[in-house]
Amino acid sequence: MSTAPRLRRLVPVLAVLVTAVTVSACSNTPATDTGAPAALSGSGPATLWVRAADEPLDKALVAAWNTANPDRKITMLTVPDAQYVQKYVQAVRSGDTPDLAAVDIANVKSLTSQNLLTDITAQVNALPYKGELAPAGVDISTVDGKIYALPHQLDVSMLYYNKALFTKAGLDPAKPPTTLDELVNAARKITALGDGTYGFTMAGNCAGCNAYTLLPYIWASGGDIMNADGTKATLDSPAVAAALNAHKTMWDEKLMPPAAKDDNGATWLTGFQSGKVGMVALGSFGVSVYKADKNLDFGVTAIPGSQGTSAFLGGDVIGISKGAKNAQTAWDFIAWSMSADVQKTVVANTGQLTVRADAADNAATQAEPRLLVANKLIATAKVPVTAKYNSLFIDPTGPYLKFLRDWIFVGDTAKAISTGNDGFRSRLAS
Amino acid sequence: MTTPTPRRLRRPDWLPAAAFWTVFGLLALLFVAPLGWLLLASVKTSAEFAQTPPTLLPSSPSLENYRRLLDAGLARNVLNSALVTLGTVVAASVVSVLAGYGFARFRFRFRGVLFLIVLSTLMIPFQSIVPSLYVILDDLNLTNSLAGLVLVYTVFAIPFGIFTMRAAFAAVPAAVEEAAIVDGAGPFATLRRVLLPIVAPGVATVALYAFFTAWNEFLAALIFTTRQEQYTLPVVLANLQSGAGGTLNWGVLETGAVVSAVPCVVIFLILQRYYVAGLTGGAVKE
Repeated sequence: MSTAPRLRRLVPVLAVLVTAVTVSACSNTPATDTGAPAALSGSGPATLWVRAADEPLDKALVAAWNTANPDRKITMLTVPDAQYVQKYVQAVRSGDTPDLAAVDIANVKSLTSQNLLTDITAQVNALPYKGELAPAGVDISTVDGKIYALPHQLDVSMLYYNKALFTKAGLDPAKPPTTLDELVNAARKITALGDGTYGFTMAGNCAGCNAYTLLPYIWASGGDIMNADGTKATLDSPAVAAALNAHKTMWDEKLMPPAAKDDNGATWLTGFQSGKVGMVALGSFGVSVYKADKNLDFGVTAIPGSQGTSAFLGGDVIGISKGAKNAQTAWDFIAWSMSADVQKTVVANTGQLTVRADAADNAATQAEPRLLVANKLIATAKVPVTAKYNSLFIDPTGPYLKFLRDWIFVGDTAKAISTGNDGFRSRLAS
Repeated sequence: MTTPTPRRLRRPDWLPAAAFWTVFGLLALLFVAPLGWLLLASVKTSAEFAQTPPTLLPSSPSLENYRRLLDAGLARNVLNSALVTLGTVVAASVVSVLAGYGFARFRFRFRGVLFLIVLSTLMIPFQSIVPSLYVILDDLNLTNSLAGLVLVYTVFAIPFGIFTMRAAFAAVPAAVEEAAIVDGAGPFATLRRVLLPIVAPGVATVALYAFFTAWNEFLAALIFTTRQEQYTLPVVLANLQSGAGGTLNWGVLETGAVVSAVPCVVIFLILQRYYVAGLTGGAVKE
């Protein structure tokens, strides 16, 4: 069979096919812009999309709402975390939008920058408890003074410490470290216990984990890794050096388990759970995981720096999709979910933090004081302000992870700063 | 025509029995070990799983992980997966048999070009056509529908299917077909009564391939479905695996892998001898 002439005849056909496929893949036009906030319309049953990691709270909320509002029930769809934004953008583009979107706080900028959410400024301003809402959660959802989403399910990063190991090492379990020096000293004493015990651990190869838990050390040292408007990296700031040098010391002195260097987050939680590690910085979600383990006696405290303490605000914000058919129901659900009663009962009972400062003290946090510690951190917790958050901080090939690995594990500070600066600059420019 | 040789492994004459059993026993162990580890880990409690150093055998076997899967109410999603898979297997097998027969036995204009176009679709990464597929399915009201998924999966499965069936039909000596025609059978009767039994290994290969494609597929099922009750098993399992804060729920991950692998293992064991015969069928002209 002579395939060669046939192949040659085939080339134009293939070329046309490939072009057609590529063109149709790229031809999605951006959603059109609209002007002033309009009154919300549509009071029928609504739909809500949540990401898988945060499903339990929303399940409880939706169940409670549906019991109280049988004529306008909410249907929930759970989407795997990593595909949430992709699927959401796809749905909005093709007009099959959910009314409500509960989205990772770190991803809300990628939705607002594409104009995929409805302006709810007027509704938010009418709320009597607006001032009580987690400030960093509202700020990150605000563009040019207009609010597009509100805090929905919150989590803060904090320092977990093993009380049993503290006692064994001659440290006071009621006095967790409040400065970087105290942190390193505590780690030394716990490691000195021997028998495979380590003072500190981190997920050294996980970009997102370290955005969430290492940035607070920098903030608590009185500086930041980027300038105020998030347009330039400030890697040579003394605060960055203070935070990273403390980690480098702990790595150099073998106060961390060797596996910490390559942990991509898979054993981030379980390392501390084994009871062989003195301290780890982790989200407040760890409280409900660890407290189920009867053998683990742990405490939590704010992440220390050289000049105080700090926290990263994680979790979800919730907004109304652009083009939502039942926007009024959607807003009523948001407002209802933030009411003091719902926050203190439904939300608090699932072991979650409340989005309102005035609801932080409730029956559930009184029973679990570690959650109250977390809840109180919300008022001062921060979120990095940059539209390139994913590309800079979450991407495993991004500049942030490389920078801190170069500093802590390789140990070449000057080179870490210079390659880090290049990396941040090129990602910010792209 | 040659009968397919039995695939059962026979000990070569030069190898003593003891060495044979040792070497191949060790090899078998090597391949089974990860699966065994998976099974063992799936019955450990989450506290025991976190233990360092890890325990070999679960100290207190628990069905906690399996119970969690049951509690999640997966029945509906398992049924979705089963229906989609069945639909895909039937559709892909029928289309592949007919197309393979056509390509192998009939002469028509553009036969070679058409066949190459079919094959070239193997090279297009699925992710790149998701947006266009979404628009098409949406226009046809086939998003959120199992029928839509069956269509998508069938399209994934048929290039390989047609390729396999064309080879299978080509390997059948023309004399067999001619004899049937002389006896008065038309093309379809020939296909059904004479050729199908001969190419059965090829059909089994296509069916198996379609089965795996449809049963394990994740991205299309996720993108083309926006109702919880229409999700297929892989999507629901992906959701159940994610713990708080982007961490992995290892217990559910392992249990999910075990549960979703069971049908694959069973089907493969049933069809494997045909599968291998079908893969090599028509590879060499005799």
